[in-house]
Amino acid sequence: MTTKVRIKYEKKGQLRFLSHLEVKRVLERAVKRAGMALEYSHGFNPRPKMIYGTASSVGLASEAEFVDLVLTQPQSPVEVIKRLNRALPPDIKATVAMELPPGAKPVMAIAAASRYRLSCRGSSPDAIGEALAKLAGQAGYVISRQKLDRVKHIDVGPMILDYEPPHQAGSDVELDICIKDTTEGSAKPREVIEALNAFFGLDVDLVMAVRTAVLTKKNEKLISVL
Amino acid sequence: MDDLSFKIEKLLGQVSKPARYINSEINAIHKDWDTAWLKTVLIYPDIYDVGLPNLGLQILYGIINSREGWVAERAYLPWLDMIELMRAGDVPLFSLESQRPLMDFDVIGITLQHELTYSNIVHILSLAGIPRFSVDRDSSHPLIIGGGPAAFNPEPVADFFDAFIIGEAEDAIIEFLSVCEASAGSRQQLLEDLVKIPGVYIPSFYQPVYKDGRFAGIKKVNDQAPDRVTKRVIDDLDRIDIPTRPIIPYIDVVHDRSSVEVMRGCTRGCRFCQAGMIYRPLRERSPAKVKDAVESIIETGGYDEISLSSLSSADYSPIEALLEELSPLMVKDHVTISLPSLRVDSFSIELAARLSQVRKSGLTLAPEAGTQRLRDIINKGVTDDDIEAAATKIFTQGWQKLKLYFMIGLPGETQEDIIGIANIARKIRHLAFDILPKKQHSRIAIIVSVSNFAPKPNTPFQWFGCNSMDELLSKQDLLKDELRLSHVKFKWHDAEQSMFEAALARGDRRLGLVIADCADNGQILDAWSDYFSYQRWGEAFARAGYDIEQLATAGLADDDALPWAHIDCGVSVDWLLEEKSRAMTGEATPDCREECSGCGLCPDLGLKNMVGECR
Repeated sequence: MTTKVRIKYEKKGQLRFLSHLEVKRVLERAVKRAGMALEYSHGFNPRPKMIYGTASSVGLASEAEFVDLVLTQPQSPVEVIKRLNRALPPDIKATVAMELPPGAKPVMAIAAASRYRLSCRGSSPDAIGEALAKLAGQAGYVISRQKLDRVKHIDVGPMILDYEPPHQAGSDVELDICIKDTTEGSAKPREVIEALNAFFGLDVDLVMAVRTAVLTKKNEKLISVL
Repeated sequence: MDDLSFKIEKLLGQVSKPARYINSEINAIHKDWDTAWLKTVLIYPDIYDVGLPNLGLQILYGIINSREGWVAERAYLPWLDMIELMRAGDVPLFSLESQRPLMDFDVIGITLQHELTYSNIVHILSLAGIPRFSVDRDSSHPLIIGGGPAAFNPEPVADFFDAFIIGEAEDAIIEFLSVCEASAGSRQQLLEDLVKIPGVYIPSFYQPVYKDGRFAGIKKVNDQAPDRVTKRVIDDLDRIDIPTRPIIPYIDVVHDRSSVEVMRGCTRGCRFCQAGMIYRPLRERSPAKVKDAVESIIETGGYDEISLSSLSSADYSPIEALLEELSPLMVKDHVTISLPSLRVDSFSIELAARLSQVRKSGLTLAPEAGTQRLRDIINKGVTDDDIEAAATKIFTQGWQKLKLYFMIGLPGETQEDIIGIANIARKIRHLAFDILPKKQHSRIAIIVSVSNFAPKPNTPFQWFGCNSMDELLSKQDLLKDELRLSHVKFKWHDAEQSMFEAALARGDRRLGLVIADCADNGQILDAWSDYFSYQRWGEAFARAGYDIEQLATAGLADDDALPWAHIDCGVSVDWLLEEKSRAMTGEATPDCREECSGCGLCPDLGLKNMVGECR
């Protein structure tokens, strides 16, 4: 009988520059080093069964990344966190673990939005707040994303679900923003800033973006996963 | 965060694969800088992806860091986008662990694995803001030292280095750094102290002599220096700790596995093979030590694959018993054990079959030459029957993919030998179709990989030149025609790159200026075919009055002065000459396990061949 444990972990410091694939390998090796009894896939090239949450882009720090582990025997979530953290590099850290009920859907399938904390420079909190008020929810502010040889057009406004008024925090302007996370696509924090600069005449420099939560819909309300 | 670290972090958001420059890899060693008194940085002169897996540097990293007060950090050549940003932003080349400029270190150790990294060395020094030529440095600069297999002819890069350690450095590095640690005097004084250590070569203590534009010998200009520098050898491998805490990279590196070295040296004596000569004599590690190491690597690393490395691991005498002991680990910990090189015989294939219980990928065999006559010339003791038997076993065991390694341009080669390569490929293809069940036929793949012979110093073939460019190209063309067969893929090595390697491998000290000049003209990353430029190298050689092809193809007379003659790899020149003439008559030289052929190494270095009797 296998059990599934959902892990919430953070990714910060220089390790925010790891790609999703690189993070996966870090976790896979940590699980091995931690000596955890994971279920393996069959075939010529068996891999531990681990189900990852939505990929976060290179450079984005996060306090809300997810991975589900399929264990061959039940283990207390506290023990799982302890063992994992002993095997992980310091800038990736498991923070919460929870045993999943049978049939629980993966994070990827239930994620509806992500909340971010952005630190910016170059414009005042008021100027950013005014521009955001015009952008949020409004269609027509389209920016393009180059991916290899394809160009994707992203209508940024409708992706912004919600935000807190920006405020000064030391030398940076801090801003909390909630962006839609759908299977059809999403906007990156960097792209929101890009739209502010392109359509509202700002000159904002994004210093750091942190994902603070992944949200899922429950009874028509958005709540945090774990 | 200090200023440099802040600058580096800014760059990470703008470059490809930023994880190449991140220092928190599992098992990286971060020692306290302020309380340390001897700081070294070890460099593989290519990018992180290629350099990180290098076992030699991992061994030295462990040895140096295990001493109190000594620090060993790592640095690599950054990728081109990073180099550009560093130059634009005035960021000097930095070490990974403490992110300090290389100028802050006492000693910089650079491994010389092959000639295609030489232009990178010039870039590394220039990115670090360190004068590239040793004559322009003094005790205010780090001491630049080199080692590794290509240091057996250090002359083409001799002007860049203050010192070399020739041979195996596990003991010598401690002696060397102890002298550095105690030194308070001038650079010259330090070098004079260092030269007393066996195996240490100080290039500035020797002066090459040229006559009519040709290298004519080397003259000692410092009385302290030995006439010949004899390589260092570790008498007993069990004395040397196996690195069991391998650094785990974040990025996908070239060899994504950990290795445990089971033995050093090879007894087979292939006449073209430099490794087979310079790593003599054969020394095996005890299987108990190997097993312990594999177990701790599984615990500390989390790698999926552990390679039992050596020049020919199927020749490791206790290999069967060792694999027997390791097989429960493979199942329990989901680890693959691999042997990097297989012999052409069915014993090797049986070993491989046993290892693939977890994973099954393709196999590689290296017959090296297409006919028995040419294999006798190169002393590759493999017969047509051996090749057939090995291939039969491979397909019987169920593999559908087989890679074959050959070399062209060997001394004494004729058209018949080239056709012979195609004949072997055809025969093996035939066997595959005969043996494998019909429904697997579509997956059959025979890959014929052909490289070009380039003479290497300290081998019986060092006196032969390469084939000319035209000859190599026409041989490649012939093979392209002959191997136009379904399920057979022909891969060949770039002839220009081989030509260049050969010109440098046997080069003398005058090539240092050519390397610096070409690097200044933008040449970098020669091991990467996208960046290697034969034309740019040709121009740089021409500016100094040389021709790459002429240097590469030149045959040397038996009594010609050799630029590396003052570096003693243990094998005697007389024996190399005997081997050369035996090659010409196709006379076999036995494996040292069977009979000593008197290469002179063991008695001269006070060693004993572990598996055979020395003459």
